[in-house]
Amino acid sequence: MMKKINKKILVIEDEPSLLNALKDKLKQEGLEILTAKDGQEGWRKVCQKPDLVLLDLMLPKMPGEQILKLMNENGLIKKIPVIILSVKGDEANMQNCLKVWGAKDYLIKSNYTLEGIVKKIKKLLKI
Amino acid sequence: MPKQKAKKFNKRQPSGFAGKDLAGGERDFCQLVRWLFENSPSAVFLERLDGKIIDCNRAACKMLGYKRDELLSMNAGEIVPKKDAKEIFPKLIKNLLNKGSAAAQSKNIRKDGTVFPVEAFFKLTRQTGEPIVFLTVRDISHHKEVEKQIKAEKERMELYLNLAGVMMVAIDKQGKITLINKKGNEILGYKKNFLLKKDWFTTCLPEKNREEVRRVFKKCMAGKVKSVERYVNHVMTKSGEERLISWHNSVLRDKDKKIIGSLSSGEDITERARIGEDLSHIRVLYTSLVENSNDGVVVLQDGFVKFFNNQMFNMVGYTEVEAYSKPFLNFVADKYKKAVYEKYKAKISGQKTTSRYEIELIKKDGKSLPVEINSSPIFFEGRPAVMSIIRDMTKAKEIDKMKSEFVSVASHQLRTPLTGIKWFSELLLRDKASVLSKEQKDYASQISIGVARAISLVDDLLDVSHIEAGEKYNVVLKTMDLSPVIKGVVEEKAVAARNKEITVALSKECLKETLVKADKNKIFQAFMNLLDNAVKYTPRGGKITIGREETDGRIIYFVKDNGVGIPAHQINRVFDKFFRAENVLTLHTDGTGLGLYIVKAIVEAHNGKVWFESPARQSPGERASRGGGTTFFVSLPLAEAKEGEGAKPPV
Repeated sequence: MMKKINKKILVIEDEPSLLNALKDKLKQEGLEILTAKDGQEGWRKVCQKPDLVLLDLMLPKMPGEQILKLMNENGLIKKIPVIILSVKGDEANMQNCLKVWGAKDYLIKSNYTLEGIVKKIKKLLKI
Repeated sequence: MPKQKAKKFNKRQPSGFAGKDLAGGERDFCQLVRWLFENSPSAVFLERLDGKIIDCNRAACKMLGYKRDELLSMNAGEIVPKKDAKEIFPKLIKNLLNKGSAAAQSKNIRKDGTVFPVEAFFKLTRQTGEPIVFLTVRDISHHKEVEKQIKAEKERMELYLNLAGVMMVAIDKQGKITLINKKGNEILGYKKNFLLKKDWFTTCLPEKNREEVRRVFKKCMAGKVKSVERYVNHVMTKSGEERLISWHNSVLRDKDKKIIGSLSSGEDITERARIGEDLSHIRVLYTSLVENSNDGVVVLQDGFVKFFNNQMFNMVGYTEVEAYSKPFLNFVADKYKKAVYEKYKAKISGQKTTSRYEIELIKKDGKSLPVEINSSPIFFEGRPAVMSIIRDMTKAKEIDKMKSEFVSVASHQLRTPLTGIKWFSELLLRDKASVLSKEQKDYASQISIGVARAISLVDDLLDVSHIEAGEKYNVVLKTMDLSPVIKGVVEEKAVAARNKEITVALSKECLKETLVKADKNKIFQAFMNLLDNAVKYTPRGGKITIGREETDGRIIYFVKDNGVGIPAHQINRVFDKFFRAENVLTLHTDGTGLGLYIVKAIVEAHNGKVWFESPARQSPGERASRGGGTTFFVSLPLAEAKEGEGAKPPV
């Protein structure tokens, strides 16, 4: 049995199938999960201070970049590492997300296995 | 008679003439007559019918070289060569006896034996009782000579006339033909001399123009109008055929400047006229083709606009005044001016260069117009020029853009479900609880592979649609070290290579720090595609070498495999979108044909070059389909040392 890790991961993803896959995988790894289906819900749950945020950029109600910016503006970004999960083709934004607004990583979803994403999470959380 | 007396008679009117009383003046009269006889400039003889010379004058003596006494004892027969005498005397005597006078041309013999031609006039008189022949003889040597010359001259003229390639016709004031040369007879179809004295107008002109031409001729003959120097009209041949003749006319005058007829030379321009008509039809056809063309047609000479067709005027919105004689580059967008200039120069000087290429023109309203231009060298007004067909590509570009956008949107939309499938099949495969049978796990594995391919294709499609949208492929160039990129690419492909037992040898130089201005992700993708191909198209147990060479401010990486190679006849298509060489279609390899297209776009966006070598395999009997492996080269400009910003980005 996978031992439980006392870390909360907030997954903000509007696509249900992808959200479910991520959720299941992370649960299997013993992590605690918070989920949000749109930008507004996402921002609300960020304020609950998870240990890490998996942030999709293409969100209804509030785009992912905005959440990132907000986190950056009020210092949340320093405490909560953010991994951007994006679709290919948004590279224009990548530099800004990483360099300006402080995201820790920028992953193109279709290029990564769930395992790959988990590895990144573990690295950032040092677990 | 003594000379003095002769003079006296010259000075005063002799009496006795003109009906005066003859009896007293008879002696005077005789003396006058005698004087006239003696002093006549022509030789005069009095002879009996049998030829005995009764009397002769001074001129006669002089002409023949005899003294008078000598002549008075001679017979005319001694003076005329026997042959000529035999010829003319009988007839001469006959005429004399019948008519009382005669004339003849013959010859005379001088005392010194020389023979010369003469002309003689004979009159028979019986006034004195017995018949006396009174004759005047003239030495016509000179005359004969002139006659001979005239004849020779005439013959020469005729020769020239008949050699002439044009017809020559002379007609008199009444319109009768007085001269016509060989060519004239040929054209009109008549035998020599048939046409002489015939009426030119009724014989040789068709009814339709007969009266008009005759009218014009009459006017010329009347001096009312200067001769119509150039005149074109039809003539009618013997067979009734009409030929079109271009005439050059001149009026003939006699020595008193009176008009006596006309002389014309005519050129048969029937064929030329027919061709001219055909040409004119053709010209009309082509003119209308050009003017009604949907594409613009431009003629440039010395770089200036010489011709725009209607559509061209429409396309650029300028008027004739604004466009003609202006430099064509005025109408070309700045960024294409150089290309247009070079292509124009190349075309004019006959160099080989692609004829068809795309540029942008600037319309009068300042908007740019995407066009395709297709040029050929021509001659215009006798000098080299370039003619170009200009095709408006606006619609085509729009459609292209729509296609790209569609592909982009579709790819985007596909990504999400594909990612879902990918992750779920990954979860399936994990199968911690071992619920799945081996078979089911296998299926899940296949799904995983399938979806990976699909994702790869969708990614490529998206890249392609970006490339086509033309925004220099979105690269953000930063100075960075390529060596970790190369290393990363090799690591990523290590598993796949191992699965095919292919060795990938990375040369030591590749690990040297190599600074270039690059977009990390994109350049990674480019090298990734190259290594991908190398692994894909190298059979089991093969070898791939990756190397690096520094030369002249540039860095060249190469990826060399010993795989199936590229067929010789397809090497030009290798970088084409969706192209897959025929020798790989039979292998069980997948591939979208987009990989190299993307590599090329990426490398060129990095100001680099990509090319390959694929030597043919040296075994005979083998189709020239290579099999000797392929080496791809990527050359990039080296960057100077990094500026302060940007430490090595994490791999």
